[in-house]
Amino acid sequence: MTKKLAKRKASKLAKRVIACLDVRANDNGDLVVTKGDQYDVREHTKENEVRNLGKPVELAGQYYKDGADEVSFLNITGFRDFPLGDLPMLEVLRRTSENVFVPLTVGGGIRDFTDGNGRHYSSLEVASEYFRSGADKISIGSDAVYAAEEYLKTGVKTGKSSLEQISRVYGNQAVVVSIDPRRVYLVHPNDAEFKAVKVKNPGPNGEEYAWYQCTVNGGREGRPIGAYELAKAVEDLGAGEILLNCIDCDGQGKGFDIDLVELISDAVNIPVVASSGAGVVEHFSEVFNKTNASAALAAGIFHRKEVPVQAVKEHLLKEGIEVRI
Amino acid sequence: MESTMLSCSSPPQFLAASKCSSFSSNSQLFRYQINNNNKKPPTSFSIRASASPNSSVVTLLDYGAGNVRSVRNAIHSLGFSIKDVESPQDILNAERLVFPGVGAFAAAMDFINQNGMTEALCSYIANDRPFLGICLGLQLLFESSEEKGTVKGLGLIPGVVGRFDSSSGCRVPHIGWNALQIVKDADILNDIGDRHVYFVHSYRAMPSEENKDWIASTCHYGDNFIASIRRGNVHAVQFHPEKSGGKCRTFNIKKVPVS
Repeated sequence: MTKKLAKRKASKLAKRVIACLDVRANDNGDLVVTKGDQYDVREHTKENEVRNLGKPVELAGQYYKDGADEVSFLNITGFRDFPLGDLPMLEVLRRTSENVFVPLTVGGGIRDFTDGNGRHYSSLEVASEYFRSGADKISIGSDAVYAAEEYLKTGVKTGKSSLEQISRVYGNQAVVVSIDPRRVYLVHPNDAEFKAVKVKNPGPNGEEYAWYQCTVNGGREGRPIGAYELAKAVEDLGAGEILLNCIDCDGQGKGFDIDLVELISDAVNIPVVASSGAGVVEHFSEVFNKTNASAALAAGIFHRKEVPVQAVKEHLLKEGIEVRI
Repeated sequence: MESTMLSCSSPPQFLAASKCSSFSSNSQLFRYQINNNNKKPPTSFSIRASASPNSSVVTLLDYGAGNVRSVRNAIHSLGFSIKDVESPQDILNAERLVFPGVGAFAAAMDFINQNGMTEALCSYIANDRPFLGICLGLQLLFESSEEKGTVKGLGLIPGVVGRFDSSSGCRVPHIGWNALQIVKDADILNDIGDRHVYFVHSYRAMPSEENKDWIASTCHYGDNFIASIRRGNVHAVQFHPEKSGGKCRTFNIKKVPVS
């Protein structure tokens, strides 16, 4: 950061810029950072190798130095091959937290599982291991969708979902719910039983409305619940923050889905992190100016060094949006 | 007690003892780098180590309820070793005690009570021994908390810890980087100045006539709440110095001889 910028005086809660790393094990068992487009992380080559864009610990350290306000790991490694204590992601967290003194969030795979030796672990045990290894927050995806569906159906908080269990033990602030919705266009807002919005850009057949269908399993399966309904339900169940992705925008670099971010950030009273679609610095000021998002997250543009974290912050400052220097 | 000087700067430098004592006449636990009266370049920080056998040890009260690894890493990165509290006696014997509270208020108090540490903690703090509480480690010093009913705290500072009022339009939890209004000279805040520090919490203690003597800084979020307290060698912060950006600026420990 330049000295000129450092002279700005902190006066209120700053908008956060979060750098995300999509991490998975490659075929050699090494953890690598990948970035998919619309959730497809395979290179479209004969070998179909996972995109290797750098080592996670080093990259997290770099983002920290560049001024990222938070570093978020999305773990897309299969769990079953490892006893809990040996999960590669835990080692990434341990090593990253030695030198990175901003909050670390980790998502992916936080659910009940049974390891190769037949030992069963609850999602709470998995989360505990992440916290012990240096995570400040964990994010839950699919599991939260099922919990929200159940809650909306029965109206009963069972206390048994991973979301509820983890937030009860570690506090709401430790649990982020990651929403992966896909836009479904509608001619009339009442064509679906879920909250629809008038979209700024009409659909392929001129549709003026859309609802946002939640998905599970990395976007592969659509569920009968909208992002709006999910957000409100998980807030009730104890989520402390929402990480709001959008499959349609992911990897496109055309900006955040403002309609979606507006819808969700106005629906809940917990912080909402806008994600998916950042391509240039102006996309960050746009989402902060047009919605009530508390933070904006990007992976690909930071990763490919198309837009450095500092450039985002400098731009936001210039636009009069308070950020941490 | 004889003391030695260590410096962690580039290039290394050694300060005159008299100069050092001018800003560390009280034994202090943690301090932020940069003292305006001191002529060191701002990229350096100094550590003054006493010759006592435990001079490089920080005693840590970690009851295993969350991520304390970052606090451990921050302490290690400053060249200290850590002794974990295993008994009330460890608290009383501490040369400097860090209490990085995580998790729920009631669970933390249960742990302290069940392990017979309440008296040791109160006595340690009442005797003005070097203490740093972080987050819940600040809240527990108050009389009670409204987190999950009313739960009794250590009762050293007047006041009740309550939840942020979300009807005032602010999102709860308060997560992110916010500014401090420093109301009292507290060494550990010296380096923060105009910078943001990292908060993550849903409950907070409010300033009052009864606790105003303790308050070192406040933060505005919906209302003005207590961001840090200081009395003598007792410090506590609602924010997370270990998550506030590091860079040898925001989470430095000052080691001074205990006389």
